[in-house]
Amino acid sequence: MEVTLPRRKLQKHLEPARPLRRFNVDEVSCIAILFRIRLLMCINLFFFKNNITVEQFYNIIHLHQPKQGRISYTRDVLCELAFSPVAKKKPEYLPEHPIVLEKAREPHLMLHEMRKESHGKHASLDEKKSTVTVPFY
Amino acid sequence: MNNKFDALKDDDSGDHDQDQSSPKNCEKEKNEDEDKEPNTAKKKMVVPGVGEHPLQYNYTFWYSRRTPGRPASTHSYEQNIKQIGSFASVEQFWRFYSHMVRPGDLTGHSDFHLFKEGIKPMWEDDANKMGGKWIIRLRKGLVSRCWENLILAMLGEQFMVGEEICGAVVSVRFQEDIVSIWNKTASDQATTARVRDTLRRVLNLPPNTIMEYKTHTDSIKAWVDFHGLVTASGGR
Repeated sequence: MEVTLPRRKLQKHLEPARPLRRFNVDEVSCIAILFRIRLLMCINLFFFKNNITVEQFYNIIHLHQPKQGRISYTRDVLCELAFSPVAKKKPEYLPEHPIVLEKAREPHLMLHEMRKESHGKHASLDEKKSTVTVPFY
Repeated sequence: MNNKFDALKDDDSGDHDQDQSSPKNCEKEKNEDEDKEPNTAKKKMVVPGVGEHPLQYNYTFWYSRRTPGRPASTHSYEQNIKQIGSFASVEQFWRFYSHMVRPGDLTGHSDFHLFKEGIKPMWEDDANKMGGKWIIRLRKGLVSRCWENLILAMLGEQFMVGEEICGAVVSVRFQEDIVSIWNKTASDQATTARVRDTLRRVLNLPPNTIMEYKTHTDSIKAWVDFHGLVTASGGR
């Protein structure tokens, strides 16, 4: 009997103990926030010293982060990116080879042709395809 | 013999030899085409440039072309399969892609391979040895568009089969062209079904197009049956 009574009391007393735990969680997140603030201050100092813009900083972080989730792109998005100036530069280390072109093919024509093929009969306007000569033998 | 030859047409080079027009050269073609020691891979990791759109995986372009009449050897294979380059971002992909001849403009018996960096376009690679591929045969004239749609779907992670995709191949042959996509686990039917359905969706193929799945084990077996050789891959 002596043993069971304090147990009951204990169980009753345990119920309102929840907020205490929450407080613990809050405390942890408080520490985390404080840490982040300190980190941000350090980063600001780093920017200031090294003359790095916020945008550049995000790019740096992005490159060194392990890729999280799936990076997926629809065909349309990929095709749009073909028009960016970076996408047209010749890669630095391309072997000399008959299949390697000196100048980039026009992504315009590429899309043009795709459209032409998908529309089939509307092709008459797009007969330019034959003018794309590929320097391959 | 005919049967074996027929089987082999599907299997050659892991990218399928379809050169029915010159059966007398067939064996040489196989030898030339086969996956032996590829060029020593550059170990330097490519990374996306600042502001570029990263891809889920890095990929490497390869190109191979049969040189008729040359004896089979590791050396000749090495001359046959060339690494074009590796990329890590969408922009870098376009840089390579737009500086390469389109498959429809290739002449002769040639293949483009686009594989995840670190996976060689050969059956025996660790990533491929338990795997297989979906094969789509195309009448002449469709290959450039089809190849582009295939690799854009692969780079854009449209197949949704986790790590399963290894790479894609386009094989330009005499009477037809073939595109294929390789995955890691041939026995994983959920994956192969999903790859097939995605292919149907993204390639916009003519309705009568036949799609065929082939395990690399079968490809190797057919190859060995035909050649009567059982040697290490390098000796093929």
